[in-house]
Amino acid sequence: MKKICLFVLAALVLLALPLPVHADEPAKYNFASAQGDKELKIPPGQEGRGYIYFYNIDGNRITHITLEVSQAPAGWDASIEPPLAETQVLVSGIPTTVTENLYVEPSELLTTEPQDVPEGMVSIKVPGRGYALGKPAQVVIKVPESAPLGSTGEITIAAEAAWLGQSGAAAVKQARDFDFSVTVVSGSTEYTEEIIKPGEVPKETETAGVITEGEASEVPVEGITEGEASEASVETVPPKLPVPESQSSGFSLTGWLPTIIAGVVVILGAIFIILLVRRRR
Amino acid sequence: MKKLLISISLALLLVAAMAVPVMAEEASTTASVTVTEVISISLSGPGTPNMTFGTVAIAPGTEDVEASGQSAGTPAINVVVESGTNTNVDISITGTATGSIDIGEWEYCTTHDGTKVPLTGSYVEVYSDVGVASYAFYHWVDVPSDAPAGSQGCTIYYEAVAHS
Repeated sequence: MKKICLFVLAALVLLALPLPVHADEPAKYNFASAQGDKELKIPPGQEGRGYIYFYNIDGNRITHITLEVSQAPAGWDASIEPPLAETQVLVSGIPTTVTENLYVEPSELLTTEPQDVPEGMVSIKVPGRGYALGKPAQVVIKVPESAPLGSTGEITIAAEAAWLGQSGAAAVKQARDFDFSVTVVSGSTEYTEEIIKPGEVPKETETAGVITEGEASEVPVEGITEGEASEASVETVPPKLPVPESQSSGFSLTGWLPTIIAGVVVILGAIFIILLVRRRR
Repeated sequence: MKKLLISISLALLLVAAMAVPVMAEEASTTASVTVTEVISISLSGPGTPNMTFGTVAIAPGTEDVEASGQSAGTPAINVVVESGTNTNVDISITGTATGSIDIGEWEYCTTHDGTKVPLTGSYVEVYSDVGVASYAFYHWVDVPSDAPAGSQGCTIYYEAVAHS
């Protein structure tokens, strides 16, 4: 019986050891972020979202993050989700209220992509290291109806990271800015192309359908909301593109022309070889 | 007849060769990539969690009071650009006074024996275009003779942004 008691006591001591060690280890304040697409394309009067993800695999303290829209074009509406809110925290047993947009707890670096990601979190691929569980913040940008097509707006989000429990004369914090560049584009996904002759003023209805070079990459993919593709991984994400209507429906002679020509060349070549062989015989 | 056939074949081959790259270009425009920026910065050193400067006698004032635990080779704060950061960064510093000692009395330097630089209310770039490594920040405070008795303080901000 004595032996069992001693064994249980030893086990309890061993189990309790890691906790004070964790508390006593030198503080390491980590502020890690991964920004989604910096270039956004939003039609006038509509809303688009930019994404910033935060993780904490190199620190051993909870990172408290506040976000603020520090720059946005006049008349544009930019806000952050989640918004500023109060969080109740027990710091060494003392209740403390923190005003923040979100907090990120220290977590382990994962070698493989996690299959089960807790609600409200995302799996972030950390280049050259593995995966980390992190939290997303969304920058919701609404472009006014009056914004001219082709114009751009610069949005800057100022982030501040703080850590509780600092009681020295100087407290330390981290800061980081995140820039988003928004291009005002047409809301139509229908592909049209028209040459504007010199001196000719294009009608508004005609310009509304024009898709500028590269815009196709921003057209939302069916079944995936904007920005969602980069949530699963912050690695390079090649989004699927919808095929323009003019290319997807019906038979297009111009599209098949090279194939037809190649076929004719092969047939003619074969006839030519047969004729040559016959003549030599 | 033979010459005519050869001419037609060559002409058609030329046309086909010119048309095939056009097809390839059309196909490649249907894919695009989204590149993201990852930045992970940690603060560590004797300045965390508590950057203290001890007790200083006011009269006649004391210059260059060193952060506790700091010495040559051991800066108060190491700003560590962690692996996984996929872009070079610029590291800047600023501060705000939380007591009656002016922010300009709080100083920093990247070396222990270098010229101390007063903190200012706006960001000053200290390390430019740097990658994954540790970057030193040594800290001191000058206590003027007219400083009121009591605890004094400041908040120091380290900013790392992608180098452009």
